[in-house]
Amino acid sequence: MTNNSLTLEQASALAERIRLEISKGLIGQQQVVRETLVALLAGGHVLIEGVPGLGKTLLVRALAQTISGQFARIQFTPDLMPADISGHVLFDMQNQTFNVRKGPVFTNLLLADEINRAPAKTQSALLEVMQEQQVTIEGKPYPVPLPFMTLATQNPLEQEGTYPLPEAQLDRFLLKVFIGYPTLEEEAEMVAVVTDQQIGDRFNLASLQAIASPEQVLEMQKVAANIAVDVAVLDYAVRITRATRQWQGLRFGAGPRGSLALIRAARAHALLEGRDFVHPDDIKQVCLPVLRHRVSLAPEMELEGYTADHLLAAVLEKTEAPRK
Amino acid sequence: MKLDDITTLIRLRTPWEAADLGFAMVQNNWRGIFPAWTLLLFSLSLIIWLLMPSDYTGYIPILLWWLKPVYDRILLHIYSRQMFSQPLSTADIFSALPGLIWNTGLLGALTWRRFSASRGFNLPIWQLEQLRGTPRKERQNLLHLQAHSYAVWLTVACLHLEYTVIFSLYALILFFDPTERVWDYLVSAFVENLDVEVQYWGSLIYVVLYTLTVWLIEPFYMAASFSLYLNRRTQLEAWDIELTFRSLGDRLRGLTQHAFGIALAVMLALSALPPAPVFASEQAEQEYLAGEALPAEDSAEQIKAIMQLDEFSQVRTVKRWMPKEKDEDKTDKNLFELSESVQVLFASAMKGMLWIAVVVLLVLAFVYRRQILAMLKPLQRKAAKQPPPDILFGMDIRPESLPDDIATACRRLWDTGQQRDALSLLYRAALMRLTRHDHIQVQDSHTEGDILQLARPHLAGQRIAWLTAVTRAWQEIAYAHRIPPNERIYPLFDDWLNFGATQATVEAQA
Repeated sequence: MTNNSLTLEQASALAERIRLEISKGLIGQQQVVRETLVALLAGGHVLIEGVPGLGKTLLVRALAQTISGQFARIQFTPDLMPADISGHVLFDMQNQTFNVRKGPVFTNLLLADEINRAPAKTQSALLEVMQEQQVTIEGKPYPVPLPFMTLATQNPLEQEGTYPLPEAQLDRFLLKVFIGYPTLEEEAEMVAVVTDQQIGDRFNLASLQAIASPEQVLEMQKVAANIAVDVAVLDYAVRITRATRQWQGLRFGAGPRGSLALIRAARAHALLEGRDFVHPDDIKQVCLPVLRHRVSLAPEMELEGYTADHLLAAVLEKTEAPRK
Repeated sequence: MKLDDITTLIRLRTPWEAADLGFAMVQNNWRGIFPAWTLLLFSLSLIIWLLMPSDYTGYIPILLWWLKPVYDRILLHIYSRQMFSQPLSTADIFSALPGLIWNTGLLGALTWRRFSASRGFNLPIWQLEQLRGTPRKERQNLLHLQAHSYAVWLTVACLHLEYTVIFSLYALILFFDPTERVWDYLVSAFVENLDVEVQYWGSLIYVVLYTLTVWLIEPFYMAASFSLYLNRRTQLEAWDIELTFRSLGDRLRGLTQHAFGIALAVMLALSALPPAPVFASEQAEQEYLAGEALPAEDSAEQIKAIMQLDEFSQVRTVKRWMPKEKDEDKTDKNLFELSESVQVLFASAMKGMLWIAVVVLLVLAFVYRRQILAMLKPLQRKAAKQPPPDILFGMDIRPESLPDDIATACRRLWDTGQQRDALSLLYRAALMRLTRHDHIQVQDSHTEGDILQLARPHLAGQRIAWLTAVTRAWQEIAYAHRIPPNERIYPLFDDWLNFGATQATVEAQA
């Protein structure tokens, strides 16, 4: 930690300022903003689920604005090709050379809107960049600018003509975040802000300030990665993940990547709290968004109206907290 | 009653098996039952028919039905003697009648107990055990414990059997009546007043058929009820075990005396067993059919020849009135009237039954009003209060495991370099206080943060502040392995007394 140019306190304060700045643009949705920041600090990707019109795009744009990062959006459609995402090689007739045209994936923050509308082949084009943070075009790897974060959205209502994300792809997302309707006060405030001296219904993001640079975000990620995790806490995270594998009502549980994600997200959570160590409460706080997309419900539980969150809450209730 | 003389195999049966045994008893001993039973029932029926004024002959079946407890007593008398190897002659049965009428609670059975659905099952208590008053009631309650519902269902089943038999008998007459006069009588019985002669014959047929029905079903009903009763007593008094022990004792005594004779008899019996036939039956059948089998063509010719005979080739013309126009047809009108009157009859019966059901339900609702009101109240089930845990997070938090002066003990540990142990002891003491005195339900899955959340509504400002500070210090030393500074920790030791003081201590100090 001493090698970083940012101290823990500075990193934590910066994260808090970013959170506050985003909140100016995206009114309400405190939990979503917090969880997105956790993913950013942990260097992970987020899958956001919610009905249209709740501010998913706004969140990404506001985040990009506050970290002075590049932002790109891909609208996933059934006819989208992998090359439309990653880029391709074009032959330049004039210069008689092959030129690489980089796709929208070469950005800091990538919004993959309605990711489940594209077939699995196209969805898988994101796998390499999410995991390796590089794209291979014509056999040559091209690194994407760092920090890189994918925020994919999916609509829970429309099931027709959609392609559910394969488990391998779901596992690549650090968190799955639910974005819900704002409260009455939040919505009233948002309507007042958006309609005040505005043409159309676009949010005015020009008022948002850039709080950090992409380099600073990278340093914050380093600070988060250096946060201490005691063996007992590590053991707690692993026990939770393993408990999902034999849990009654779950078709399958989370793999080892679930344990890794729990610790990474818990570190980021501790950083947001301004702590230089992780304690079991951090694990509990991030457990649902980290694990809910890594487990699959048994059909009978789905029929009875249970969700992954219900069963994960039961897992947490039955898993002993660290014994010190 | 000598159990040794019992003529059936006594063992514990299911209630329906026992009822079956009763039916089998009647089939097996019908010679000893039906002569006297026939004579008695038909005589009674005849006497009633003769004595009844002609205007009231239609009520005779009801009277015959009402007198069923009388028949039951006679039948039970026969069965109870047969069961213990004392066959009765018809004269014996007739001579027992006065005793059966006077000493078996017949008056009650014909009046307020007439509608008892388990009358057959209860009768042995009156007649054979001769119990009266409270002992009879207690005995009946005991026997009813596991057999009452079966006795009731047996009565219901036999009642339906009676309906089946009487309808079948009517149907039988209809099938064998070429004049259709019985059908006309049945149809007109519902729609118009009959002349005296038709009514007389109709009533006579009804009485005969009903007497036949009772004659057929009642012995089976009573035998099944008696068998149910015996089975219940076997269950209560272990008759089967007693009999087994007795026969075992007899056999052992006999064996010692006639061991050689028995062995010889067994050997002879085994050698005399015939071998099983293997081909015999098949061969016999083939030989038997060979003489009469004809080829197909010959058979057809033979059949044709037979059909040419006068007996099979007669043609008879039957003329019937057929409806020309539906409205003018009398038969159809009659049928319509019949169906309408049957519907009205059925509707009235159903209406009456529904009203009775409503009244019964209202009475029951009034009788059981407390239970019903109790059911309507919202459930006020309190969660069972769990005893406070002894061990939490691997820490022993029993009061006896902690030192008397916690603050001093913690400070001593802290000053001697055992900072982790000192904070562990302080946190343990805090948990003990929360679980035992503040009654906070802490589970194994609760983290330190969860406990703070749980404690927040229960603790006053200073106490929750102290607990928060201790929790933070404990988390720091446990998970970050960092020792908090003395100036942060010493006040926590000092304030333990404020946190840990019970209400009584506080009042005493005040």
